[in-house]
Amino acid sequence: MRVRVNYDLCSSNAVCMGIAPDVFEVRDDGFLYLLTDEPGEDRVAAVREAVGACPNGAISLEA
Amino acid sequence: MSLSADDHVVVVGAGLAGWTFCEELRRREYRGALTLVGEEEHEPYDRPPLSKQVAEGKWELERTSLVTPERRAATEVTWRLAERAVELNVSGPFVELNSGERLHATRVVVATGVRARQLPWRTPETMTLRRRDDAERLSRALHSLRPSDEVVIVGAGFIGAELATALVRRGLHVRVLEAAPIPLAAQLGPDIARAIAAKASTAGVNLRTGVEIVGISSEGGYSDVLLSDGSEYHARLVVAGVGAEPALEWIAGSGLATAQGILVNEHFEARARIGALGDVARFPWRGEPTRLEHWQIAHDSARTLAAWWVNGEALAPLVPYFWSDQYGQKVQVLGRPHPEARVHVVRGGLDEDRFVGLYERGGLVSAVVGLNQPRALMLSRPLLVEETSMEEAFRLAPWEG
Ligand SMILES: Cc1cc2nc3c(=O)[nH]c(=O)nc-3n(C[C@H](O)[C@H](O)[C@H](O)COP(=O)(O)OP(=O)(O)OC[C@H]3O[C@@H](n4cnc5c(N)ncnc54)[C@H](O)[C@@H]3O)c2cc1C
Ligand code: SF4
Repeated sequence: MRVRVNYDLCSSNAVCMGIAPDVFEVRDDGFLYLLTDEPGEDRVAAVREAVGACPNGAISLEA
Repeated sequence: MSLSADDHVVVVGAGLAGWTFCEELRRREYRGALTLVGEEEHEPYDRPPLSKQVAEGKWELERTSLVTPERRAATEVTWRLAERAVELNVSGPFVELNSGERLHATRVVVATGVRARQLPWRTPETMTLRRRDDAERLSRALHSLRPSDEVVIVGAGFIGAELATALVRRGLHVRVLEAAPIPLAAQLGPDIARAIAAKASTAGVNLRTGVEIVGISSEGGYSDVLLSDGSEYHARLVVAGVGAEPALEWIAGSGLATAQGILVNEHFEARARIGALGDVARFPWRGEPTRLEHWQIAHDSARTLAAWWVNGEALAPLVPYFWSDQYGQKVQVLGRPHPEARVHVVRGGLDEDRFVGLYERGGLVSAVVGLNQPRALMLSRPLLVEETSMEEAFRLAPWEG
């Protein structure tokens, strides 16, 4: 499972980071960083939750 | 009782909470009937960009839509847009529309949000910003401005401050008039609020606080805004950001609503078979009924009720979260910052361009507020998931991570 972020849509509000801080990190430069783009099986549920929670629909998951 | 294929759920309010709830029901494989009633003619859209990217002219309005073709296909609903609910009968239950038609349901969800409070003076140049149609009207008005024209924004709350920032970035002359001596002090307490308001001038926003408007009159396409000290502003456009009230007059007869919203349990049920979500819901947060107009709460309340109704699953209690982009700063709030709480600044400083403040109430961390510190702020979220004493918070110091 690969995570992708469309940075044109992301507004760095860190909603995703609140859900999965081990995958998403908004740094103090104001940009979102992916800490891993292939999270382990045990994190897929959290990443899916972040996909649904992102206000801008900026995150997607690919098989 | 979990929902079954024989149910009919009627959701009133086609905003963020109502639409997210429909999506979650279908994602959880609810197969019964589902009707979504919304008084606006637009499909559900996102409001936060209206005072930010859209106001700045960076986004077209279409981009705020919450309904992509994939999301529409995945979420089968009977759409009743441009129709207004005028009554809720809780024992039926049924919802009556303005056409007189009754939608009989087995369960009803109230997600009608809030309405912008209006100024007592209405002129052709005054407006508010809550809806897509408001944003459209605003953008039309902005296109007709001349370079020398001034925009007056009444209220330096979150929406007023965001709008002012966006309009200054478009190169407009903006003046913000605020009644309170310190804007947002009632929401964030005086210290943090003062530190945020101090950024207005660097962002080019002309902010006047502690002023009282005594009248607005209109002539020749301009409004004159008169203050109690005799000063007067000549504005081509006046936008009021003076708060909002729950849009609940339509359920006045149901006995469910008060001026403070609809009281719900931790699953966002007002009573058996009736739910209330988002901006209208008064939900229990740390034992206190709490109503907050936050994007995240609209979203999480919808997920919580859907999980409960479809699967009997109790999701973890939500943690209030709010962000605002104003004066070129990113303000983020977790929890509930009581204005009288003691604030401990744990990173940066109130006179700097970044800080994190912990709010202490009854010996516990009740909120964390950050300015331009998204990482430290979100790392502090566990302090609000479980009740955490101040000593424990300082020992853990998650903001240092
Ligand atoms: C300009 C602006 C900027 C914002 N920025 C932020 C931000 O930066 N961060 C943040 O956390 N939050 C922000 N918010 C708040 C956030 O958008 C709201 O908390 C969220 O939209 C609430 O969702 P809701 O579904 O409860 O209500 P709404 O989105 O208001 O949806 C309710 C819908 O119900 C409809 N309705 C009302 N009465 C009836 C009726 N009788 N019959 C049928 N339909 C009815 C309304 O027309 C509306 O479409 C902002 C809000 C605005 C207006
Ligand atoms: S939730 Fe979405 S918009 Fe917010 S930081 Fe994450 S990817 Fe960006």
